[in-house]
This record gives sequence, structure tokens and C-alpha cells, in this order.
Amino acid sequence: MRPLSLKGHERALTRVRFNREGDLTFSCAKDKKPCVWYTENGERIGSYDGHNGAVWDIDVSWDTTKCVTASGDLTVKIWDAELGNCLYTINHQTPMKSCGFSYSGNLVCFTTQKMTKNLSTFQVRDLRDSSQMVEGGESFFYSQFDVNATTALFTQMDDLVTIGFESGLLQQYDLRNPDTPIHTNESVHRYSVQDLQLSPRGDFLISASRDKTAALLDVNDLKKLKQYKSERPVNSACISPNRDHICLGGGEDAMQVTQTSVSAGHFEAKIYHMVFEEEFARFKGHFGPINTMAWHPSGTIIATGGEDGYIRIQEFDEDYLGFTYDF
Amino acid sequence: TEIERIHRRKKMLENYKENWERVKAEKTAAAATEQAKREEAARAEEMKRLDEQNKESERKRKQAEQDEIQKKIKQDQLYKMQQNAIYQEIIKEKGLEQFRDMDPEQVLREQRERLDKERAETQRRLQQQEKNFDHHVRALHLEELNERRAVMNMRLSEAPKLHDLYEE
Amino acid sequence: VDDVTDDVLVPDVLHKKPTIDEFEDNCVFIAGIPVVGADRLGKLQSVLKKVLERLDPAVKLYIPPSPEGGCLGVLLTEWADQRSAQFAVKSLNGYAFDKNHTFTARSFKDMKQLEAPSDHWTTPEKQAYNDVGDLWWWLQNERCRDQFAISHDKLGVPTVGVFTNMKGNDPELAGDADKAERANWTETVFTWSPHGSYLSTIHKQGIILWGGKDYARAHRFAHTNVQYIDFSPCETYLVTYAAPEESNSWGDCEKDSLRIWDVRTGELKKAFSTFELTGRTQLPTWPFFRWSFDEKYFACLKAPEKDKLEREQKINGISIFESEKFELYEGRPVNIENIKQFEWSPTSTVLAYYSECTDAVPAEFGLLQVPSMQRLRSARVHNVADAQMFWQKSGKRLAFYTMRFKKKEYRETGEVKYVGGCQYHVDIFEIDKKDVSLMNLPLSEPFIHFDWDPEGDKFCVLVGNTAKATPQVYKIEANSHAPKLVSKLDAGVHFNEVQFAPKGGWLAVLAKVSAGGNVYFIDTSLSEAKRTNVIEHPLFNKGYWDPTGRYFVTCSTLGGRAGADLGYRIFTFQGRELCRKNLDRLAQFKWRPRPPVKLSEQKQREIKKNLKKTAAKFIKQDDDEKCRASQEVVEKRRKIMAAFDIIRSRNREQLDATRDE
Repeated sequence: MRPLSLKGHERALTRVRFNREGDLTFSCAKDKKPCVWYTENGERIGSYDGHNGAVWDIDVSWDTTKCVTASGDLTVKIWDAELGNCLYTINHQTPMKSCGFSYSGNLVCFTTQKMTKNLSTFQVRDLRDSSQMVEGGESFFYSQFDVNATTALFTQMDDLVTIGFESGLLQQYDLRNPDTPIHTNESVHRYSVQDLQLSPRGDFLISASRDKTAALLDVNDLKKLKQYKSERPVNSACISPNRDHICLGGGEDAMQVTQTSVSAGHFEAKIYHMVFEEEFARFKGHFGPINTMAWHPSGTIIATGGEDGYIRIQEFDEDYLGFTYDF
Repeated sequence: TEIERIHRRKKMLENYKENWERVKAEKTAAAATEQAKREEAARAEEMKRLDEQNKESERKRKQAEQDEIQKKIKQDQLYKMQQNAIYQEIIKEKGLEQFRDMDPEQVLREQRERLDKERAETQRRLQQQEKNFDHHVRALHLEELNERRAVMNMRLSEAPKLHDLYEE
Repeated sequence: VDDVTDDVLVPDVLHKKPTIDEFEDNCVFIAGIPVVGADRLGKLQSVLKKVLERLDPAVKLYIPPSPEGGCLGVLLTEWADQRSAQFAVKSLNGYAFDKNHTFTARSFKDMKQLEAPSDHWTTPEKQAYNDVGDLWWWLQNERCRDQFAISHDKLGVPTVGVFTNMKGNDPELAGDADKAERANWTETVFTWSPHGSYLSTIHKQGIILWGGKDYARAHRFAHTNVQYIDFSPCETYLVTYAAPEESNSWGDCEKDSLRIWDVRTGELKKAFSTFELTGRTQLPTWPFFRWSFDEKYFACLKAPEKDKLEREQKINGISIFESEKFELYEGRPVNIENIKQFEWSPTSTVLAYYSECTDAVPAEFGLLQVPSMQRLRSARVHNVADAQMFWQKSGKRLAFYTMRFKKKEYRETGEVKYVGGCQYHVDIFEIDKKDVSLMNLPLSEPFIHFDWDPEGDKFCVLVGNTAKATPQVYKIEANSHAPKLVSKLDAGVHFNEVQFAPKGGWLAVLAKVSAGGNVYFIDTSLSEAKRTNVIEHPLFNKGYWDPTGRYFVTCSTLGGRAGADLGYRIFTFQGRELCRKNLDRLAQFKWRPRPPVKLSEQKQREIKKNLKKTAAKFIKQDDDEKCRASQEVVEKRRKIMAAFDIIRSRNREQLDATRDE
């Protein structure tokens, strides 16, 4: 029955994520309605209605009670994951680009885009502090940059965050000190960092960049450990929970693809050995670039979200599961 | 009284007779009906039998016709195959007579097997050719290597002299 | 003596510079006379006098004396008038006085234009000979592996690297990491010399040749802003060209935009003025000079002459230079009316030329033998709209393709239009036949491309159009008047080139710069040409056989269609893919050429006889290598994994510790 093709979004996907158990798939797109699906059969359970613009990011708390979404409508919203009603709305002067929960689910971080006078910002709010969760509430952590912060996430418990920038820069902050980053890596990527994901064990980070590479970073100091070369800009990358594999996806923007053939666009997801940096498998499915991907906690499924508006849930075959490197 | 008795008797007799006649007629009629019924049944039976016989022969005829068509199709297919160059090999091997008796399916299967074999054979041949050519080039190279070394040694010994001559 | 440059001698001359211009016009300066002592001066004078008086008895001689009373090797002459002096310059420049002495003659006026050398001028220091070692070292490898060089962007920096093609494995750097691959090795492009001895790079100040195992700097040639370079066929000479700066007024300063160097000594053999050679301010083609196979001659089309109204006329000759003296052969070009193109034979000093047709005169295809300047054979064809010539590498045959029109009309815009359709022909000169025979092959479809089997009797002509192009393989049979078609090959789309392997037999048919990117690999060594494989490399724009004909590479480089994935793929001669590399901004891929060697017949027979035994050795070699290689890979992986595991376990311990807090 697999791979499943999930059609529910009217526009390009911007994020797919699994909850901790993997039974649910959360997605958001450039349309206004983030969705939740049964992973097993691809049935849509419902949507979170209330945004008034493209939704750029969605995250779900560890216990699947809450969702957070970041939207171009200048808001970040926290939802009751089960009931679908909006619990809090956080406003900003510019579009929100990414968001995420901390390990405990008590903190929520988000980045905002640079526009005219407003600098790009990275902020953290505490859900337990009601003064931070009302309109006009203030963030307890606030840092601003003159280059766009494209993606951010909690990288160690509730203490450290890592931010990726449009310039290719990566920075790590300790929440106790918003003034200076504790680690910086400006050499690994030459163009925009599109996505950052933590390994399921929490020991590595993977970054995806438009410079046609993805990189495995040491979560403690952001040092580059490995780098995976693709032939096309990489929009998203994820790490297998139980094998030494990583998967990446991307592709040239459909606008820039001059050829008619789909294969020339490289819209496949590619699987690499995490340690040897060699590509050994790829799978097709999308008719446009892959914008986002997530590895299922079981390790045997990958969800991808494409510019073509589809989510694909790909279950691996025997060949993949039986594949090993000699060493 | 006697007369009366005689009359009665006569009447009785007549009645009797009449009755007898009637009974007899009735009996005859019943027997006739019975007979007619039996005959009718027999006829129906016969009709049914004939009908079935008819159907059976029709079925047989159709079957024969079908078989004939099938046979013709087969023959046709075989004929076509016979014309086709790729089956010539099989014909040559088995002879035309036997080929005509073959099932086209079987011919196809055999041809497929042959193709597979041929493909493997081509693959093997190509591999061999690749190796042979490589070996040939390398064998030449081993000799050329000496010639080149000699030429280069000469050139290297000449070069400083040439250089000095120019620099003078 | 010949090596003393004019510059050394000029100061003396300039001191004695006459002041009257008219007188200067009559004086000729001659260098290159024998240097003799005072004892033999008289004899020299009388011999020189004899030579010069043959030109004009009115000549006056003056031999500037050396401090010791001998001569300096230069001679001053005065002639009756300007005309006579000019004639003397023409006749005496390049005149071979005896075996060791060749004159250089200049009019006095020209001499004045030479700048006086600076006062600090000293004889250049003698340069130490620079030995970079065996220039053919890579061919001393028993494994018989060929090299190639590529230029591409590595980590965003333009880089040139030399690699060894490892069959079945990724190519390996052909040398030390810091030597075989260098960032910004060249400022524009790199070139292999024709025998592969040198890798040449282009820089603002000139050309550098690199050679030996370490790619050490072997030679330098100073030529500011050099743009193009070309080697003579046996890599004895190097031709360099830099477009002169625009501010220069033409004819005045531009004297040496085109230079010829001796590769081995670095000597500047000759400098040419582009304007004088071509009558234009830039070169029409590159390489500009065509060298004969033995480097004895090099030639270019004559500059077009101008009529009274300063209109350029059609080119009517070839300038053939002798490389012994670097002068025009016999002092004048060879006349060939309307000449459009010429090609030297790859094996003899014969050149084939093509003269365009005019409305009155048919086109001519001819063979000119140098230096006898005898026309061996020519063919005239009417109504030729387009033509190309193809020499067979063996030099045995020359093919020329012609597109012949029925009727020509001129449009109002001046464009030419051919009416009534065109016919396509291939004609073949057989040089080795008595009187050079000619055979004709009319083509049923438009001509696309052509190639000879380098040694054999076959050729391939590609006909059709983009939608349906058919490669046709023909064989030339002895005593037959027409080539025989030997193939039944499938047509393909977008085919635009055919390339025989360097050792013949195998043929690649290429569909360059097409979305399909097909290459047919065809075996023509059998009685019937047979296709073994078809490959796809979408949008590839270049394809090359390696020098041994065992491999074929397809590349997609910067020069191709925008949006293509740049990189190269290597195939066996049968079309089996061996390796695939994507590279950022790949600009060039060039196989390293092999210096030619000729094995004796006997050696070749011997090799053939022993092939079975040698082959067994090769098989073992390959097996061992495969085994070793896979072991190496495993070993390497183990190391990488071990290093990674250290970081991994450290991180996990740290994580556990934080969680426990």
C-alpha cells in the first residue's frame, strides 16, 4: 500500500513532522491550514484553522498535547493538538519563519524575518508565564540580527538553541546569555541554511543548505563532522534514528529548471551513509523540489513534503533494510 | 302381475344391458384416454431426447468448428513464425514438420529462452572482447615503454647541451 | 654568432647614425656575417663584395672594426638609391651566406626605430639548465593507465587537477596532492602539449610549461596578456598570441602579437605582426598557423589584398613558411585563387586546399605538394554552397564533402538563397593510388558529419536531420570505384558528430547538447557494423576517446547548455559506464596525449604470439589489485568509523550527564 501520497494542502509544503510515537504526521504549507494525519493510512484527521497567511513551520510537543505554528500573518500560534483550538497567539511586526518546542515542551522558540526597519529576531517564550503569552507579551530571550535567521531549534534540553542564517552562518546560544553566541560556524555553508534537525539521540545536528550540501555538526560546538554533496540545493535533511544513515532532499526551484524532464530537476530524496558520506540510494516521487522531510521514529519510514503540494510517506523496502557497508 | 314382473324383468335387463353398455363404453373411453396419455408422454420423451441429441450434436459441431479455428490460428501463428527470421533457428533445428506440430506458446517460450541465452552469450563475448582489447593495448604498452624510455633518455641527455648552446 | 641579437649591436650603429634622411634610405644594415680576426678581414671583405655586387655593382661596403682589428659580425652598406636599397633588404634578409651564417638585413630607417637599450643593459645571466626529469614518466607505469586533466571549481576556487583513470574505481590524483592539483593553476585554460610532455598554463605575463612527476616548472615564455597558444605537432615549437592593445595605432607598434618559440630552449624564433599577416586587427582563426606533420613548414592564408577603392578582395594564396629559417618559403606566397581553407596531410608535406566557387568559376579541391609546389591532383565542382575536408590519419585518403545547389538567388537583403533543393556528396582522393584516384559518393540525405577510421578502409558519414540522423559506415574496397555500405544501423535523434577511436575499429556517434544525450557505441571491425550499446548523458556537450581507444568520456562543461549538470562520465569502448563525477563549473576535460612510438613489425609479431601468456599476467595483476583495493576501502572505512565513534560516544556520555543533572 505504500508509498502514500497525501493530498490535502493546496500549496507547497513547508514542513512535515512526526510526533514522538510516530503515529501522527503534522504538516503545514503555504496555504493557511496546518494539518494532522494518521501516519498508518494517510487519513487526514483535521486541520488547525485560524492563520491568515502562509504557515512556514509547525512543531509538536513531546506528549502530543500542543502544537506551535509560525506564519507569514505575523503570528505564532499555540494550539491544543487534539482539539484544534488556538490557545495562545504571539504577535510580531514581521512574518514568522520558524518555530519549535523545547525538550520539556514548556518553552517555545521562533524566528522572525527581516523587513525594512525591523531586524530579524530569534525569541523564546515560556508557556508557563502568562504575561509572556498575551498580546503584546514580551519574550524572555530576544536576540536580533541584520541577516535573516531562517531556522532555529532547541539543541540541548531547555538550555541551548542553534540558529541557521540566510548567509550560511550557524550560531549556538545559551538561553542565559542573549548577547553573544557560545559557538559559531561560518565556514561550513556558503549559502542559506534551509533546515536544521537534531539527531533522535540528540548527539548531532544536520544542516541543509542551498549550497548543495548538507552537513553533520557536532551538537556541542557546531563543528562540521561530515558533509554530504548533492547536485542541487538542499532544502531539508534528517538523520535515521537507528542506522548510520542520513537523508536529504531539495532540487532546483521549478522556475529555474529549464529542462522538461523531471529527472533533470533532481527531485529525488537521497540517502547517504552518515559516516562515509557516500550516497547509496535515492527515491523518487515528487514533481517539484522537496521542501521538507522527516524520519519516522521506527527508522523504516520517511515523510517528504514537496513544492508540488503533496506529502509522501515512503516505507523502505527489503533492499534498503538489508543494505550494509563492509567495514 | 307376471307380465308386470316380466316387464320389470325386461326393463331391468334392458337397464342392465344399458348400464353394461355404458360401463363398457366408459371403460373403453378411459382406456383410450389412458392410451392417449401414454402416447403423449412417449412422444414428449422422444422429443426431449431428440432435442438433446440435437443440442449435443450442435455442441459437437461448434466444438469442432472452434477446434478448427484454433488449429487454424495456431497454424497461422506458426506460419507467421516460420516467416519470421528470429524463429528460423528453431525451425532449422527441429525441422519444419515438427515445428508445424508445435504449440506457438511453446515456440515463444523456447525463443525467449534462446534470447536469454544469446544475451548472456553476447554479454560474455563483449566482456571477453573488452578484456582482449585491454590486454592487447597493455601488451603493446609494455614494449612501447622501453622505446619511450630510450627516446626520453636521449632527449634528456641532449636537453642540457641544447640549453647551454642557446644560453651561450 | 647567429645568436647575437640586433640589440647588442645597435648602440655602435646608432652612434654613427647619419643625419641626412635621404642617405639613410640608401643604407642597409646587415648582421650575421662571419666574425673574423684582422688577418682574414680582407678576404671576407672581398667575398662579401662579390656577393653584394651581384645585386648592384654600385654598392659600398663598410665593416665596423672590433677593438682587436677584426670584425663584429655586422656590415654597413650604401646603395645607389632607395629602390636598390630596398631590393637589397628583401634579397639579403635570410640569405644563407654559408652553412653557418645567415644574414639579417634591415634598412637603416627601420633600425632607427629600434629603441636604444638602456644603459644598464648587460648580457643576460646564463640560466642554469632546469631538469624536471622524465617528461613521459606516467607511461613508464606497467599498468598502462592514462591520465587526464580537468579544470573546475573546487570549494569555489578554480582548480586544475591531473588524474589517473582507474578502471572501475574513482580516478586518482596523478601525483602528490599539492602538486598534481593546484588552485588557480592557470588564469584561463590549460593545454597538453601534443605528445603529453607538458601541461601548459596561461598567465598574465606569459606561458608556463609544467612537466615531470612533480609538475615542476620546465619552461617559461614571456608574452604579456597572452590569449591563445598552440604547439607544433611534435611539440618543438610553441605559438603564442596576445591581441595588441587597442591604443596602439596599427602598423606602428604591433610587431609581435604572434610569436613562435623553441620549446626546448625558450628561444623566441620569430615574431609576427597580426596586421601584416592578415590585414586585420585580429586573428580570423586559431590555431592560426597550420604545421606540416614534420614541423618543416607552417602556413596560413594570405592577407586579402585591397583594390583601388580599398575594398577587400578574396584571398588568393597561402603563405608557407619554412621553420628552418622562419621565413616565407622562396620569399613569396603560393597563389591559389579564392582559397577558403587548407589542411596539411597528417603524414606528408602535402596540403589539401579548397577554393570557393564564384558565379563563373567552379570550386576547386586540390592537393599541393610542398616544397615542389606541384599540384598532385585537383577536382572542380560547380555550385558548391558548403564544403569540408577530412584527411585520414594514415594520410592515405582525403575526403571532401560538398553541398551543391541547383540555382542561387540573391535576396534584396543581400542574403543568398538556394532554389530547387541541394545535393550532398562526399568525394574521396586516394593519395596512395597512381595519379591519385577520385571516387564519388552521392548522399541520399543532408550531410551532418564525417570521420575516417584512422588506419583502416572504413569511414562513417552521418546523414539526415535532427529528428532522424543515420550513421552510415562504408568500406573502400580495392579495385572498386565506389565505397560499399557495410552497415544497417538504427537512426537516432539529434546526432551531430561521429568519432572513430584512435586505433580504429570502434565508433562513437554523439548527440551533443541534446536532452537525450545519446551516444551509440558501434563495432565496425566486423563485416557488418554493429551497435553494442547506447548511453544517455543528458545535455553533455563534449566527448573524447582516450589515447588508447579503450575509454570514452562524455562531459558537460561550462560551454554547454545553461542548467546542465556539469561533470564527466567515463565509459568503456563498448559503452559500459565506469564512473560518473559531478563537478562545479567544470570548464575543461583533456586526456593526456601519448607520444607516438612505432614498434617494429617483428616486435609486434612477438607480442601477438605471446599475448596469451601476457594476458594471464594481466588477469592476475587485475585480480590482485581488485582484492587489494577492496581491502583498502574496508580499511579506510574502519578508520573513519573508529574516529567517528570516538566523537559519538563522547557526545552521548555528555548528553547522559546533562540529563542526569
